[in-house]
Amino acid sequence: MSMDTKRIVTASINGAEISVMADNRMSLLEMLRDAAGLTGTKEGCMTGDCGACSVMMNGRVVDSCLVMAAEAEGAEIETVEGIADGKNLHPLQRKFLEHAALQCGICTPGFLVSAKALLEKNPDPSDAETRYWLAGNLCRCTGYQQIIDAVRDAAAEMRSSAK
Amino acid sequence: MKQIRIDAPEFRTVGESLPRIDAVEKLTGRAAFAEDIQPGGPILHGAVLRSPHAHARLTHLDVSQAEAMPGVRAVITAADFPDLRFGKYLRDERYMAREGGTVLYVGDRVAAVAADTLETAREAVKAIEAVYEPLEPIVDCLRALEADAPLLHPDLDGYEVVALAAPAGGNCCSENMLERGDVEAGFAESHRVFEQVYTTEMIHQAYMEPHGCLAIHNPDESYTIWSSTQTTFWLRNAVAEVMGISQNRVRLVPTEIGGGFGGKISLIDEAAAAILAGKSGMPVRMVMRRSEDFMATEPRSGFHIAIKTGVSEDMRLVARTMEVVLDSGAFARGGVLMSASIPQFAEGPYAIPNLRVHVRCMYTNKAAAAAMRAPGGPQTNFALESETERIAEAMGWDAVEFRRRNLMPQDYKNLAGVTLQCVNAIETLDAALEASGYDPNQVRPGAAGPGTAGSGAVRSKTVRGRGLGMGNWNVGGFPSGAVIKMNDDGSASIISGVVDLTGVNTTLAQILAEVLHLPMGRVTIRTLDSESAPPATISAGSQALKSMGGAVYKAANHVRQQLFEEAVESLDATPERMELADGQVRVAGAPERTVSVTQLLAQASMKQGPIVGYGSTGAFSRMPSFACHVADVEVDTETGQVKLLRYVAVQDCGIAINPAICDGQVQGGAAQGIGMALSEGFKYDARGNPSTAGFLDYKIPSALDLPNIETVLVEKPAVDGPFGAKGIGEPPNVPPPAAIANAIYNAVGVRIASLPITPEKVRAALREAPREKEAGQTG
Ligand code: FES
Ligand code: FES
Repeated sequence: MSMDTKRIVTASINGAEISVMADNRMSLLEMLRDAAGLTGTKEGCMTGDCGACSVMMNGRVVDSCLVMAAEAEGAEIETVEGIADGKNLHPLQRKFLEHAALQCGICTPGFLVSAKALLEKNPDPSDAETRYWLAGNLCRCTGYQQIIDAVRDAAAEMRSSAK
Repeated sequence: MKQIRIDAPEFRTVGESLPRIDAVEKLTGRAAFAEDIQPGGPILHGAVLRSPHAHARLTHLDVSQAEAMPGVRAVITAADFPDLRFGKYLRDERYMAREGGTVLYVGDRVAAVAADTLETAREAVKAIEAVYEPLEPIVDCLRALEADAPLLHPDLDGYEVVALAAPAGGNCCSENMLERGDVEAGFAESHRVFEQVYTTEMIHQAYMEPHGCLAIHNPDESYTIWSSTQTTFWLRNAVAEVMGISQNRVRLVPTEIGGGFGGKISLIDEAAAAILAGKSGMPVRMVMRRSEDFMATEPRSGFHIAIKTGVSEDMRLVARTMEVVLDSGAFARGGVLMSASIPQFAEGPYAIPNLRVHVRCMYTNKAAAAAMRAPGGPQTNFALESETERIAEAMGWDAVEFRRRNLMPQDYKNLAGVTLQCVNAIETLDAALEASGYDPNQVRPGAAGPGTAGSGAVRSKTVRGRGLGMGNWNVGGFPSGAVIKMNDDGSASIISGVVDLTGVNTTLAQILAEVLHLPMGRVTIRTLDSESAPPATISAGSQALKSMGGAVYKAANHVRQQLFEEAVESLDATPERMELADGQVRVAGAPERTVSVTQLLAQASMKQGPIVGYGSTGAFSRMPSFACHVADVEVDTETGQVKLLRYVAVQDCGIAINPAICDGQVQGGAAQGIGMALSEGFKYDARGNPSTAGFLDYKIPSALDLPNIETVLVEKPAVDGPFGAKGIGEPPNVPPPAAIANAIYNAVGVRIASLPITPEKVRAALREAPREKEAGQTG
């Protein structure tokens, strides 16, 4: 907590270069929420068990509660705020809406980020593959099926528009 | 999702699966939950010193070191609050432990700190000197019954009863009994009598958003508190009570809420945040850590249920008793509320002429239990529906036929004397049989056949089974008022004080759009704070739609009526002959005689003032919503692992105002019930330390643990819901434990009578099984 452990961390967050003053105990989640004001990424546990804090870091999904802010120096970070293209929702977001894949919505940012990463790796995931990939994201409201359906439906749409 | 519509009328907007009106905000990360609220300017962070002991006397408390730490702006203790006990049902609760007083569970509030940073606040909490003299804890609710058990509330006799509670001395904060007929005579005349004990564990709501709030002390001595709560008004009242101030001094602003399931109804840290804000003169945010949230909120209580059932030779339930001992935790919160629903405990969906249910809510040194989804329902239904199948098998009966003969009839007068209307038990059961293909002739163990053999090198034997569970939740509710503000252009806004927990705002908007014949784009709903909205019910107990929906329906009709009265002159017709469509009021059968709503609004406004609609619903008595679930499982006889292969959930829901939202409630309710059945249990060690205060140990289902939950909505209009809707949040949470226990029995022939049904329990039961068979059927 002492002042001498503070340092400036500069990262690209959703394409914008952002520098924040971070102490050596600050997590990436806190850096995003408290320092950068991007509160779309949620805190569910701070122990890496719920996935609510999922963000992309250099192309990989991470639990931002487990990553130190200092590790984000020079990294490319993508959060839920960066998924839509301006006012145009990403296909995943649209399909979540159409499939009623969100209820309270606190888990939704984490699911969207994880699902987007999945579709970048595997454009045509099966039901089982989708469930496996998303098993680290907990949702207490939905029972998951609408989420799985939304992700696979978005995948189908993205495949056909990529043709 | 399938919909079975019985005499169900068609509407314009009602009945449409429209997306939630808040979906885009939530999908883009813009929705502000409690931890996201930014009041502007610097804020402080709060942290709470919580008791590390389950039961102890707080002999010494010194906060001076914490106060002296740089960055600490305020430290509070019991001395900062009026010296009182509070409670919604029984005034037995202290908000903070006093020096010389006792702490009653691990997590009990002792002091709180506000500091510039969260780290400083937590450091300061550690610097508080608290000395405890440990006392013997009660961890098991049966121990609480014993004569030599320590008394957790020695002054129980002197506590003020506010509502519902019936303290019975000792550690019993409420004892309730209801009886009909003559159970002893009933057992005497029964052909066979069966007895069994069932137990369930404490369950945590485990919403994904921990409790959080932010408080400001305003210059006019009022407080503004943002909280992730299910109830703006009950929480406001509790804060005012604990702080000893009048209710108009607390402006409670509900934020977006990240799940509640009954766990965000009581006062948690809001009053501490407010007092800290008052003392420091700065806004204070308090967000619970997950471990804190697990140990210091309000889980579902565990039940110990002794059930005794007498049946006749011709498949009738003749007599039943149910003795329930429930674990109320440190205070009389949920236990007492559950005692109010005891008629449903022993009755379930059945009519039983001789019936007695006896409930004792016992204090223990655990987190005070609250009312999780269908309070008391899943616990008792586990006993009821396990018994249904156990008895049917012992008697050689078809378990479906056994159920059919005993389902409650229409206009059944329940144990509490309430005449239950819209009893759709048979329709629900039939829909489940049809959707699942359940064959009552295949209930014998092993009848469903072997499973897919274990894969790879692991040799294991899997057996499939199928089980059915039938349950209900009788939805009653509290009052709500709604205001509808008409805008000059004819668009309309609902002002609501009910929290949008489940998508209810979308359905309320649909109700308004339907009545005023407006497109959805021309209706808005605002959930406002306790100072700005009319009083409203809690978002719990499946009642928000019926209570607030009824109010919105009436308020919309109030607007409609005023428009019609205003149109009398221009249309030269009586209001009875008028209709409202597409922004016009017109005379039925004379389409040329119309006047626009905008003109009527302007006219009325100049004459007697703007048209505003008001509608309200009073408290309403209970109406059942039935649920019937069928589970297909695969049990590994070597590991005891239970895998769900398929799950069918049928829900009696009246008219589904928004079927997609109903579907979501059914899926989510079933998923939570599946967790309770197979993996969840909030546990304490012998000293009363919580041992499952994180998602690693408290295992809620992940996407891998659940199959596709196939849902069926049975839509038969209910008599008094808005557009015939019933409340449905609770009932899908009721049957899963029994359906799964029955499926496991069907697969491997062992009956597990304690939840959760872990692989260890299945393995142990399978080892015991041959002996059990030799001993023959008990009862
Ligand atoms: S908050 Fe990071 S995994 Fe839960
Ligand atoms: S929608 Fe509430 S936790 Fe997923």
